[in-house]
Amino acid sequence: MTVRYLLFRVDDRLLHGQVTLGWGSRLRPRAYLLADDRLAADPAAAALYESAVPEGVAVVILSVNALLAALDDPSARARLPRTEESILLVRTLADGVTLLRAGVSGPLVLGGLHFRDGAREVLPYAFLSAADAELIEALAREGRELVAHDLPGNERVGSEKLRDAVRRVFGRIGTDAA
Amino acid sequence: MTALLLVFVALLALGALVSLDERVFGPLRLQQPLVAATVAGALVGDARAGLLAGLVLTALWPALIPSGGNLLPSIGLGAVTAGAVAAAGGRVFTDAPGFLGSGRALALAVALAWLVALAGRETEAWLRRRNEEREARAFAALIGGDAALDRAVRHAAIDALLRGWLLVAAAACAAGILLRAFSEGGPVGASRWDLLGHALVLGALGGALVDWAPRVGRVLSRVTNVAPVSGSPLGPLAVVSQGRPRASQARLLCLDALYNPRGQQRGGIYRALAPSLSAPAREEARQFLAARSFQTHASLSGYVLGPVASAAEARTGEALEVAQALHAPVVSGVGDRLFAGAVHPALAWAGATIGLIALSLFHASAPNSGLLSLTLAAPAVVCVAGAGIAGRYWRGRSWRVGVGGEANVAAELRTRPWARWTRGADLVAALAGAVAFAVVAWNLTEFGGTLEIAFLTLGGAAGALAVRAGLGPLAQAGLVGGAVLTAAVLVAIGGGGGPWSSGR
Repeated sequence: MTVRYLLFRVDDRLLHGQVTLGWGSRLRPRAYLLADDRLAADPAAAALYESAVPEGVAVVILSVNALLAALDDPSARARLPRTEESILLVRTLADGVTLLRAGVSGPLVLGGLHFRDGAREVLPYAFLSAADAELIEALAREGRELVAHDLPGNERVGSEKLRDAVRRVFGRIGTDAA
Repeated sequence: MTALLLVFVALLALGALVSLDERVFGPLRLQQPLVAATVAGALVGDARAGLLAGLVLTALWPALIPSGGNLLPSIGLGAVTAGAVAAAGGRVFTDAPGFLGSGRALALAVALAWLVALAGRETEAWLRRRNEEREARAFAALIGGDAALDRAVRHAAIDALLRGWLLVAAAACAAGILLRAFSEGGPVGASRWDLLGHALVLGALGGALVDWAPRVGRVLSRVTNVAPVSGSPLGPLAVVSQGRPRASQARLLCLDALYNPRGQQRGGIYRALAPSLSAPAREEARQFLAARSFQTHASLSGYVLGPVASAAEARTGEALEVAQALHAPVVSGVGDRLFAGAVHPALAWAGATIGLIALSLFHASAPNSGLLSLTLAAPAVVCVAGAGIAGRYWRGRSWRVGVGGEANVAAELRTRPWARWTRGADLVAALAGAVAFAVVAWNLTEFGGTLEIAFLTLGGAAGALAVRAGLGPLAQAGLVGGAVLTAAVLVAIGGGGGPWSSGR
């Protein structure tokens, strides 16, 4: 299974102004696909997110496992928005890595992970935990592409540069285990 | 010399005000190019040239995405520079009005403006870092009261004032040197020593302002720290529901004052909420906010903060959790679509179209004609008044709904009440854009001002491309500089001839 989305983005706020206005006005998606366990389990919250997009654009919300199952099942996949017209959003780096390893095409774009307790600043819009840093090292070992890019008009930080930035903050993590 | 100094002081004050508006008072919208450049041009003595510079920057502006914590070139400070330089045309420093011709002065104005805008972006990043430190200190000191945060906001405002002041001062010096260097007959009516003198005067004024900063702080404290009083959600000073103050409008105006990558708007959000919270609830809010970032849309803040302000004391933490994790991102998306994506571009297009019509109809009028002055002011009035009315309406509406609780907010958001506004604004933008193109086409055929049009097109396209391509500041400056220089050469060879250089 290999599927490619217009944009495959990690953002702890999922669907907000940078996505709908910044990327939305550039990529003109017909749908936003939100793979998030918490939102999928909360229909009232999901309904709010459905109201946050421009008119005529669809929002589909499902859990990460439900998306994985749908992508493996042709009939279920046919009911999802066309991948080449959709933006896929996940809330955590771990969810993004799960989907990446399951066959969703990269690059996985780190768009916004904001400050919370225990996280350290790697980029102004990317505050990462030690677990996130380990995942980034693991992705590099697996040869999967992870970049950082908050908005289309801003600098895109490539895999190598991002890993260097992570190492400057966290040191070298688990590289010998490769 | 006295008149010149007055113009300088007025320009620096305008730069400081625009910087304050960009950095601290986002909702006032004085930073829009059609406003800042026209006012700067008028201060120097030629509102028409200022408006034209504002039109050029307005062409660049939509390419920028004012969303979330995105660091943008400081288009407002650039506009002050552009308006002043375009209007000066060499006059300020050399007493030789119009000797550069409008096309060349405009080219120089836009090139300098873009450099100032890029410098504004870099200083903005620096200010955000300073905010991060001072906000962290203020949050740590909050146990003893909220004065530390109020003080931090005042200091942030002073930083913003000084940034605008110094960038405009630097641009004025650079413009003076360049205008002199580009003049065909050398300095007229003034020597190089005068220029050095002006630079020294500017430096001395800067030093005096730094000394004066504590007094500025006390004045600002009266503006930014108004105590909540009773009134309606649309009242001037406070948001009140059911007889209880909910948040100070003046404080809401400063939501962005302490913006920084770590906490985003949490300092402003705490200040806006604090008057409505009991002491234990305030402490709970402080602990909640200290552990994470929090951002919302200033004009729709009531949807996010209203439920927190009106929650029972025991529910403060829960209400904050819902506001930060659920309502804030949704409202941010709606707000950016509504304001940055619809209302502000529509107002800019409408203002630009009025400006183009005014320039076309009155290009041969005397600069001090009353009708011309009124017409030239119209675009700025449209931008400021329109943004003010829209912002005020949505602030009032969002707070009226928000203080009713989370269920009220959810019900309101699901009905998408902004949809009619976005459709209407999109329609206005489309109509105004069509009229603007028609006016430009008419000018092309009627006056043969192709070189100016070429300049506008080249500068606008290069700037938009540079921004959209995500190029670095130097590459952006190079692209825009190359385009305006090319256009300037074209204008110099052809001597202009379009409607906007007539009568100069």
